[in-house]
Amino acid sequence: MITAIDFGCSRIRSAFRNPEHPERLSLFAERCEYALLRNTEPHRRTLEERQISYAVCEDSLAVVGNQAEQVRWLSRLPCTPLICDGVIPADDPPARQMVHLLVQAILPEPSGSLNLCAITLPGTADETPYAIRNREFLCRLVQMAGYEPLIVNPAEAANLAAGSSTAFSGISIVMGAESTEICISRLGRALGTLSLDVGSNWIDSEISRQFRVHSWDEDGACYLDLENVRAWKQRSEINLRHAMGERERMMLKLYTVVLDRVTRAIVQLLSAESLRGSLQNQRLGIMLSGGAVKTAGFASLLTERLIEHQIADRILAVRIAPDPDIAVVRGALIFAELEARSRAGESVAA
Amino acid sequence: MDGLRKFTGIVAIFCLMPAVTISALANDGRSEDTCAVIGDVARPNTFRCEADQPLSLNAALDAAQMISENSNVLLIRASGSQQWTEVVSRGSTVAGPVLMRGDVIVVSAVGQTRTGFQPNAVLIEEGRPVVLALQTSSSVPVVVADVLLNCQLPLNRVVDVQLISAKPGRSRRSVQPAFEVEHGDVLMLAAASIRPTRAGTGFRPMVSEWSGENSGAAENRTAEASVNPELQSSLDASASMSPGIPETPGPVDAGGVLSTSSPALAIPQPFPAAFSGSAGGSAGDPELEPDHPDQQESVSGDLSVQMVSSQYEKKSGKAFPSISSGADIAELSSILPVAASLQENAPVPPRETPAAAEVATGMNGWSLAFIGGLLVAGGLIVFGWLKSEAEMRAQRTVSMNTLRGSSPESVSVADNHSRSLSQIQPLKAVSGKDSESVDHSQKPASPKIDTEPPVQLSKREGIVVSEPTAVELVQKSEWFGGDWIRPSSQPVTPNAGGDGSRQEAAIASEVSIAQVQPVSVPPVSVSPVSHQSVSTVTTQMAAVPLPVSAEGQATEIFSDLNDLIANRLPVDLCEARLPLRVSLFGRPAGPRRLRIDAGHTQLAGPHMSMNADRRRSNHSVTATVASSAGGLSAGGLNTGTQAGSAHPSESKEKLEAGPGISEPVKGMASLDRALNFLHEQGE
Repeated sequence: MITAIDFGCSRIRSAFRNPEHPERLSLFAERCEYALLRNTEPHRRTLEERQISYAVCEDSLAVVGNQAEQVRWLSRLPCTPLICDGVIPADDPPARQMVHLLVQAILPEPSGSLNLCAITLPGTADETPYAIRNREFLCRLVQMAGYEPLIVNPAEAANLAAGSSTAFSGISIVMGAESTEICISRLGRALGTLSLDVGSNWIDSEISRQFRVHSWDEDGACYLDLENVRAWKQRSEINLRHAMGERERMMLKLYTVVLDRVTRAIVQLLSAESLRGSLQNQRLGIMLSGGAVKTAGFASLLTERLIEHQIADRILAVRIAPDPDIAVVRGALIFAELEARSRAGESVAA
Repeated sequence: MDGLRKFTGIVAIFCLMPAVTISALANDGRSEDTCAVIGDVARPNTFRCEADQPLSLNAALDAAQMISENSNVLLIRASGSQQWTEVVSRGSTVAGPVLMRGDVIVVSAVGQTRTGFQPNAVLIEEGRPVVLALQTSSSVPVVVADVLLNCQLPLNRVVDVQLISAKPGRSRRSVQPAFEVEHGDVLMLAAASIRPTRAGTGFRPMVSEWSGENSGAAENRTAEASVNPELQSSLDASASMSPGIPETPGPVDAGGVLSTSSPALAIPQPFPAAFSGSAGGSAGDPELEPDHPDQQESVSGDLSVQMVSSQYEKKSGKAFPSISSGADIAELSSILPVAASLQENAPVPPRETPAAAEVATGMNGWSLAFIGGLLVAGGLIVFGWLKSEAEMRAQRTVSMNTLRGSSPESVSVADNHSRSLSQIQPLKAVSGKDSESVDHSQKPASPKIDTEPPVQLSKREGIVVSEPTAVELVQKSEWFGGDWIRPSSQPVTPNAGGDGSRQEAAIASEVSIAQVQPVSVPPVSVSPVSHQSVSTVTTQMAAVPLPVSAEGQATEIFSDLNDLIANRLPVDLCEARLPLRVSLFGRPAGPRRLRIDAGHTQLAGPHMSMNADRRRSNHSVTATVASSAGGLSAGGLNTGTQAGSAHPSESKEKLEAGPGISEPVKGMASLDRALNFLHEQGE
């Protein structure tokens, strides 16, 4: 069985071929958060009547995944992310177990002799202790599900998923909730990658902080109401090129800050000695993936930043990948299938 | 009588069609300074690129007629050393670099193509490209030996033939005579190779004339959609590599090389109807209609091997005569050594000059019969081209297997563009052992063992998941704690032996067109498979064979990989089924509270003597941390503190608030001042 999991800070997605219909893809996308409820009899009864899965955690009830949004009205607390700032929380044991629950739920039963699962890791891809701990924890979860983990870079995966029209060459940018991955590839081979610890969550939290979009629980504790900001973004259909109002202009500034960092990172990558030799001033296309790029005007704003940083002459086009949300997990699945194919060929040769 | 002999000869040729047919496409052989455009274009050809009439890349592509909106263009300089690729759009107005003598442009269509094209390749001999049309209608593939023989290059005198290809998996290297030549390949004879003797083969002189469609093609182009006008203008401005070169295909029109206004040679394109479906320029043009048996045969495209007129010019030192200008075909045949060779070897009746004279004088019965035969031949060709692409590829795959079954050499890679992945057979077997059981009876007929020395790999890539760090994160009481200690009941094959050898083989056989630099990303130490190996797999997708498993279990895995890559598979969004009720260990942290620094109720005195560092440290002391879980008190406070200290992005959150926090802050501010005073006194 060949599968892929995209461990995102916003959603955990898995993709695999339907065992009964290999010509179709099965996709799971679960919100990577849980809602906390009071552990009272009315709450339990409400959940059981609605057939909502829940977990009992000492004096609280936790509803994880997509169902968390459904029960949020039962509590004044906002949902808690399972992967906070791109890191598996060290101080939240139930969150770790919920991640395991989700992994078990969205992975199919392993079958056959080769069970391979390509995974993308949340947060920045570096060698910090947090990243190492993430990696080992998530790999272990996948192993416990009976799969062999195969770690892939999200940007490389997105390039494989959406780069067929450009011979898998160009710059792939995946802007997620907590991190932004950049990869420059040539004919499917990654020449350089770079990871930034900024994503759409930072923009949402800044808007929430600047405009005091808060929520309070029963005890009067204050929280940033990020869900409210996200709903506003989705509801308003904001176009970054036509920002109207104070909040939209603030969002435009924040996006500009993020894209400035992205553009500087691209400049840094392109100026690397190894890439200069390989690319030879070749003009590259940019393929955008991830949930944050769906904001209207994103590609145009990035183009503006490219011009501002005087690297527009190195760019051929700026495009948004088809289905940017699932491009990473689909690319990871392609990675896994290619790896399986390679191993099968090897076994035949042996 | 001559006409009868000619007709019977043609019929015989149709009946005994050679298995491999290579045609040197019409070349503009009037100049030594030529460059070639091959690949996925409607009209592969050579063009003049002289110093006084510079030819830009875009103009050459215009003339060759790209068949898709976007194409990957590989430019190979005459030396073969300089290569670069670029995605060129039909709507692009960028002139591109100026082509030089001996340049070869290999075009690979991206996305849907508008029309078909004839498989072609190019042979670079002494810096002069010769475009070849490959007839692949038969089951036998074209190999290098065919090309050399048809180019009158004796195999025993050829020193080295280099292959340059734009396709993944076909890097530049020396190839053997039995190596299969595929569409878009560039064969380059090394400098030490022989100078061919132009005698004794089936090349036939043929030249072509452009039916210019540059303006129309330019009008029909669509602009690159995603780049806004500012960027486009910036790109255009910056991409103009030579200020003297106009962006429009001016050299084509002005130079007359590619112009339709003043054709130098009025001999039609070799296959206007059959292969260039959108080539409307030749349709209905009386000057471009076949008016000579020679050209009529060449229109069929598969009668014989043909020779470029440039060879004639090179040998004779005279300009190639134009038929329309009244040149005598007999004279042409007598002075052209190719024609003499044609008489010896070609199955066509040798005396062609009288037939040409007949055509020149008028139509007769035999001519009509010949035209009828020609129409039949054209119909056969059109029928062949109307076959689906999948069928063509299937035939090619079968022919490849046939070739490899009898070929003594190892062919390691195949192209990724023109073949369906699901039809690719094992091309190269790698050394190494795998723990999986393999049904050897289903192996390919003659898998070749790669004897290349294995590449030393970093030990990091084989490291298995280390135990300690993850165990530290998970406590035993967590509900998967039991499974955590015993990771998996199923044996997970991490990377023992076989994977290393596989990776070695993958790296050893890795092909890179332009010798790209190694990946700068450090390999992942945990994953059994590193990025690098996966990228390698990506670049040689076509080289990966289909699984031939005894259990047949993996066959469903590999179906429709192309569809998956092209995002054509329908997606079923499923809903995860979680256990209805489960007990989890531990206290949830809950959402993170908004941390607000309490304001100083009473302003402290001036801190003139404090330096910035001290002030900062004191501020950090005043920051307090609140519990994050709702309803949690002391435990939550401790937890929040740990999280705050352990969290990398805690610096983002600067604020903290809590009921009744103003008093402690006030007290702490006083304490700060007292501590600072004591500190200064101590100093």
